[in-house]
Parts: sequence; structure tokens; C-alpha cells
Amino acid sequence: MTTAARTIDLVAPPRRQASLWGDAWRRLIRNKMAVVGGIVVAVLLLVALFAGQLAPYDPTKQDMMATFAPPGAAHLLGADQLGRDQLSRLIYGARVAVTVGIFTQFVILAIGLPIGSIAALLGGQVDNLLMRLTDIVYAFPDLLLIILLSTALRGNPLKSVWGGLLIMFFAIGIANWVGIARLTRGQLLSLKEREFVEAARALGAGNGHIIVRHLLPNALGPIIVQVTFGIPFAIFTEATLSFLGLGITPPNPSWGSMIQDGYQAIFAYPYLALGPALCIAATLLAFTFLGDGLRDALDPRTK
Amino acid sequence: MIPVLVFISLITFLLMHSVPGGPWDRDKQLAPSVIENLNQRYGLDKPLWEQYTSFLGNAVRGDLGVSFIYQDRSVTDVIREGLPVTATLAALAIAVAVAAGIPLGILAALRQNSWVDYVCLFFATIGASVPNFVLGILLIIVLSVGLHLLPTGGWGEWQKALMPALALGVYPAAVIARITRASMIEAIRQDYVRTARAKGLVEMVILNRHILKNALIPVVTVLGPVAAGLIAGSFIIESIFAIPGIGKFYIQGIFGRDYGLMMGATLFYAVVIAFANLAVDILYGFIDPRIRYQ
Repeated sequence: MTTAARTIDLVAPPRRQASLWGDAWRRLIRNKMAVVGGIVVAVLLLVALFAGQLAPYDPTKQDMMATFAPPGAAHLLGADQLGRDQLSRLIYGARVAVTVGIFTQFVILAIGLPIGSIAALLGGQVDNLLMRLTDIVYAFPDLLLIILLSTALRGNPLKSVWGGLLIMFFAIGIANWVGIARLTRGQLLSLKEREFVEAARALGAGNGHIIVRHLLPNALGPIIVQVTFGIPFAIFTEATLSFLGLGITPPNPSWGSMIQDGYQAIFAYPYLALGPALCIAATLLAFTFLGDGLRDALDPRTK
Repeated sequence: MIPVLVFISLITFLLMHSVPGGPWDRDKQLAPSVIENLNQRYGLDKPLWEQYTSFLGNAVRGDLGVSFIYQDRSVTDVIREGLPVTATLAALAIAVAVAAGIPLGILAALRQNSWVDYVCLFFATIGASVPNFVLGILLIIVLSVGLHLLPTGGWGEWQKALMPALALGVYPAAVIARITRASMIEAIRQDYVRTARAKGLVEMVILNRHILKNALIPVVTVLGPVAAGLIAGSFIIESIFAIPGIGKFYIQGIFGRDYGLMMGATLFYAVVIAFANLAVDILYGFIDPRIRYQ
């Protein structure tokens, strides 16, 4: 690994001193599957961002004359049971998937990071208490907790914000912060004892300086990897809930609810369920390949 | 384990009662006096803490209360009816997972870094990332709609169990394949394997006696989480394939605000998962004498 990098150094023009992130980036782009995954994710992000420009129709607009219209010039991928354009719904569905995937991570980080850090840095009784809390949430069957949360959250005024998206962020986030909390705690606990932290302390660095300059940057790699794997999990969970009718509020397009709609007419129009099914499969695969690549790139020791 | 279960039941109880609407919501509204009577009959007019403590007291004795949508039946009855179906489905899925996952993992490890390895890993990655309901739908499209080979749903004949077991078993198969590969690769490099080879043992014996025996131990540890995953997965698979298991009742319970069923089924699932993990811990100490629990 290092020999290869050095050889390149000899022939390449002098570059900036090798940094952790620069090395990681070079390892990442050498991994073909990760690059393919990255490209698919980038395309997905662009589609989500420019859904308004890309979609030929309003994804919620019903056209009774086009009910179950076959794929053709007017509707490239056909129209669903209410005459809504399937392609436009797939495009807007990408926006829903990406939004849930990313914003759920903010909820997870907002709960998990402080809990993990506080447990690691304060230790003692506080640590004990917080870890028991994570044990309980961890023991709760994932999907059951999310289903309960998403139905319970429907009681408050947030339910109509962005077609139920906000509820998805919180339901999935509140059920899934344990992983990040445990990871953060474990990372900080082991980093705290390392020589370079001791050295910094010996040089007279304060607690704040050590946390910001030494502990957090070193814990960042594993946390990024965890978040990368958290995104497809959130997308998968939202699709599952919407498939069951417990997710995004209709008529907003979600790949999960589109599969359910298509499933109702699967013998006559199998392509209606096939499209969103392939979209979900491709998205989740792409994130997994990217996540695997990131993990290997950020922590070469695991290879 | 007991305090965790109590906490889970408490959280479920509180969440459930904060769900808008109640079990008596109908398209045609019931008269207030009727609702009052129903509430009284099922104890829903009592303060929340009293409802909770009486539920807990009964649950300890194995009585999970009454179901509100299946009015003449207890939650224990509903679970008892769904359990054999869900358990059969889960057992079939585990069979699929072990039968596919372990050979794939062994094959990949024996041919590490060859194309065989990459193909196995690629399939394992697909299996681990494509959600089971997407897989279920794809199976239906190919096998039922396209080739007319299998029925799309129902329960009772072996043809009907094939697709659900496959859809549910692929994820654990992928997990098992990955773990098997990783622990095989580690076992192959051990000194005792070199010793076995040095004293001239046949490859087959080395593989069976020395490598596999040690490599399969870590596989047992993932069976706990795998069982938990199967339970969550069975929800959706049972809904797709119209299988009358606990998961299907649970989903109906959620839509019908059936407090009794939601509460009972959640607790039941939590207990099953807790026992699955406990069983794996005990099994682990049993098959690996290096580990002993105090």
C-alpha cells in the first residue's frame, strides 16, 4: 500500500503533504465498486435536487383519461391507477428517499453524538445511566419501535409538514441513534488514553482544545462510515413504512407506496411495481458499495 | 432482561396511548354512551397508570389481555393462532440462509481473491442491501406473473411457502456468508492448520476437522441478530404474501388502534428476541469451551 503510494510520488509532480483525507480519497477512487456506487449516489442526488426541472408532469396530478396508460410518448413509463405519470413519481420519489436518508442522519447525530460524548467524557454514574438507556432502546425490536413512533407522532401538528416527511425523520432517528452513541463513546474512550492526547495534555492543552483538535477529528472516520450506512437504512425503512401505508402521506410519491400501488395491479401491469422496486434496489446497493469503499479507505487496517 | 422488558412494555404503552384516535373509531360514529360502555368494559376509563399496572400484572401470568378488533378473542389466542405460521416461515428462512450462506462463505474463503470469491461477495452484498419486500415483489413478478410457476400468496401448501421463505432468507444468507468467509480466512491461517498439513493430513480432513469446526463458531453469534431481523422481516413478507402469521395481525392491530393486540404482540416479540440472544449466548459457551460464563 505505502510502497505503491511512494512510487507514484516519485513520478508525479510534487504535491501537498499527504493528509489523512487525501490518502483516504486516493484509496477510495482506486476501488471500482465504490466509484460506481458513488456515481449512482451522485446521479440520485442530482435527480432529487432537480426533480422539478426533470419531471415531465406534476407527480400528484391525476388524469382519469390516462388511468393505467401504457408506456409511450405521453407517459414514458406509463401512468398509475389514478393516471399519474409514473416517471414523474419515480423522480419525486428519489427526492423523498434522499431527504429521508439525509435528514434522518441529522436527527441521529443530534441525539447520538452528545449522548456518546457525555458518556465517554464524564464516565462514572452518568456513563452507566446513559448506557442502560441505549441498552433498552437497542433491545426494542427496531421496526416495531419505528412503527409505534410514526403512528404516535401523527397526533401532533407536525404530521402535515412536508407530507409526513418530518415524522419519518423523527420516527427513524429516535429509534436508531444507539449505534452512533455507542460508536462515539467507544472511539472517545480509546482515543482519550492514547499517547498523543497525553502529549497534548503535557504541553498544557486544555480540555476543550483536546476535544476539538484531537478527539473529534480522530473519531470522525468511523462516524462518517456509520452515517453512510445509516442513509440506506433510513431509505429502506421509509420505503417499508410507506409500503405498509404507515409512511409518507398520500398522494406524495414514495417508492415504497408506489410498490404497494403497483402490487395491487401486479398481474395486469407488473412494470408499475418493477420501476420503484429497481430504484430502491439500485439506491441501496450504491450506498452499500460506497459505504464499504469509505470504510476500507478511512481505515486501511480493516482491509 | 426483566427490567428491559418492563421498560419496553412501558414505552409501548405510552406511545400507543398517544396515538390519535381510539379502538372505537368507525366510519359510522358510535353513540357516546356506547363508547362509554365499551371503555368501561375494557377498563379504558381508568387512569393510565392503573391500566398499565393491571396489564403488567396479567402479563406476568401469561394473560396479554383482550383484542379489541377480534372482539371475542384474547391476544394470547391471536398469538397462538399466528405463531405456528410465523415460526414455520422463520424456520424455512433460516434453513435457506444456512443452506446458501455457509457453502457460499466457505467457497469464497477457499478461493480467496479469485473470481469465485468476488462473485460470492457480490451476491452477498446484493443480498444484504436489497430489502426483503423489494425482493418479494421481484420474485412475484418473475415467478408468478412472468412464468406462472408459483401462487402469489396464501398459506398451507408447500408451493405457497417457497417465495416467502426465499425473500425472507436471502438477507440472513448474505450475513452468514460474509461471517463464514471472514472467519474461514482467519482459521486457514492458524498454526494448527499448518501443523495438520505438515503431518500430512488429507485436505478434506483438515477442512472438516480443523478449519470448519473453528470457523463456524462465530457464525453462531450472528444467529441472534438474524432471528431478530427475521421477525421484523416477517411483518412485511406476511403482508405481501397474505400469510396469516403474527405480523399480519400486528399490522391490522396498528391500523385498528387495537391497544391490546399492539401491546401484547410487541411484548411477545421483545421476549422472543431476548430469548434468541440468550440462547445464542448459552450455545456459544457450549460449543466453544474457551468461553465460560461465570
